Amino acid sequence: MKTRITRRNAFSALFQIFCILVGLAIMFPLIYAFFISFMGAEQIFSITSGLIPERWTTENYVAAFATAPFLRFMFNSFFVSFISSLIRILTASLAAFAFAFLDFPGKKVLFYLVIATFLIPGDVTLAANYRTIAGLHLINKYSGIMAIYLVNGMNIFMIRQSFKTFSTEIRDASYVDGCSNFRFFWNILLPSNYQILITVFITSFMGVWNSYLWPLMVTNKTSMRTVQVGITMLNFADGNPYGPIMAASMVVIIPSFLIFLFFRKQIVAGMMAGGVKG
Amino acid sequence: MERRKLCNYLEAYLYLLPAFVLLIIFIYYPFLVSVFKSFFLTNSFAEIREFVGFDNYMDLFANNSFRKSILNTFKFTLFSVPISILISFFMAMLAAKTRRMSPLYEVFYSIPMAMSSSVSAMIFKIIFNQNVGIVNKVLNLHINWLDDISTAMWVLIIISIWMHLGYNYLFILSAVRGLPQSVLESAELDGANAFTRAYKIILPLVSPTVFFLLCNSLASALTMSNLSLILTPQGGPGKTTETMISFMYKASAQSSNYNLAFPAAVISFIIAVMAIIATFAYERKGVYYN
Repeated sequence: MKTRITRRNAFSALFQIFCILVGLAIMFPLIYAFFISFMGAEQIFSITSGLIPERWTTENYVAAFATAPFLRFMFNSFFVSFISSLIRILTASLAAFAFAFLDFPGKKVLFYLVIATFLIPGDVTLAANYRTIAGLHLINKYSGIMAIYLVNGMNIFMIRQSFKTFSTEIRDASYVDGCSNFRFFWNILLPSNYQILITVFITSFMGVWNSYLWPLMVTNKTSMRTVQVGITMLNFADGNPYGPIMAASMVVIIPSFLIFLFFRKQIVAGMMAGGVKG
Repeated sequence: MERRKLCNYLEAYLYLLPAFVLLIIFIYYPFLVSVFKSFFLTNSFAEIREFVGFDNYMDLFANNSFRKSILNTFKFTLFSVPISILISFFMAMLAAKTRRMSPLYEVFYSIPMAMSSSVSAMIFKIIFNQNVGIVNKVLNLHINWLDDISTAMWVLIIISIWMHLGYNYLFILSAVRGLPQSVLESAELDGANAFTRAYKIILPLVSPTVFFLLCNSLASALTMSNLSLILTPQGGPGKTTETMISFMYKASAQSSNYNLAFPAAVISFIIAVMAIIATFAYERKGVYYN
């Protein structure tokens, strides 16, 4: 009996070591980038060099920040992601409220119109959207970058699903108390559904923060670039672009990493409720 | 009474107004306008000049790099989507049972999810670099992976597989953990046939989740452009990494040729929707529901 238990423990320990090794393999590109970002140029270029820096240096980080306005890129990305996610929650929860609690002609048709947007991949409308934004003279403007992120059909759907589970008794009671629709929505419904709102905000923030093609299309001034676009355009004159580019990459992923680590639960909940979409 | 009802209706529409104004301007209008204008000759501001029927489509399909881009997109999708889901499935099987170290490797497994395509592209660009990249160093090769007709697309496929591991894994893991304990025990990973058992017993049970992932990934893989634009701005060696959407981007924002951009958008849409519908059709036959 005892030997069986120890054998089982031994197996479990080995199994877990194996699981961690697999995890390290999956993380390898990141670990590699991390080491390169602290590696001296001489080692990066040497054919026989090992993986781990022989001389730890921050010169790549210094070079990265000297070459491009990185803090500006970060600010642009942060501003655009934050504001558009905030507006997106608002537009989505207002619409979700109408779909979940109010009665009006055409409700079904309008709801199907929301669902139908799931079928139109965002990328196929970019050429036409680009014309709209250019026509409105919003190229190189924050509002131009944010425009297409202010509404999302999937988010309307997710929030509506959450509202639907709200107790009708509390709703009826609040109406009896003379609560208007808007007060019910703002003071009771939104606070008690904060979890889905956080989920939508976080997934939306990550989606906008990580997006590439649209910010690339509607900006052409360096000062208006987002991090994701900026990082692909780094030019280093002195022949060692690799270290600084990896240093820049490390800096760029810090915000999404922190958000991911802290809000993993909400993100996973959001995925299960409808998938992370940009 | 009637008046009050009308007021209620108006109030409801007011709540819908902001969302629908934006949906119309940035989803429905651009979609319909792309379809409509694809039948017209347009100037560099995408203004209509003359009705030409299907001429733009003829030109589009006569365009060598667009024809290639369709095949490239299919190749990319065909390999990146299933392989990523399959690897994620085995990751989920490894992590299925919570053990003492679980919190650690569960984070490791899901971390690619936090990566953006730009950063992933920049990292893999160095991994596959001809002179300093670790792939050439370890294999003792001197291949210029991103500039070689036979390898460039494979680099993009590998990056995409890696980027989607975290997302797919988390989905499958939660499906696997939702299965009854007895099923999990019968497929416990401790024997020589562990992988075949996982494949035969667990995979059919989580097939609804796998199907959902397939649908999701198909649409995004068929409209992939980022990796191609970042790593191979010119469409790669012999246009082997041009995709439908990277082609559309170059025709629109770069060269203002909307006679090609709009039909390209429409074709990409049709292909993406057909793939999704085809997956739905397959669902009836292949997916096991309890």
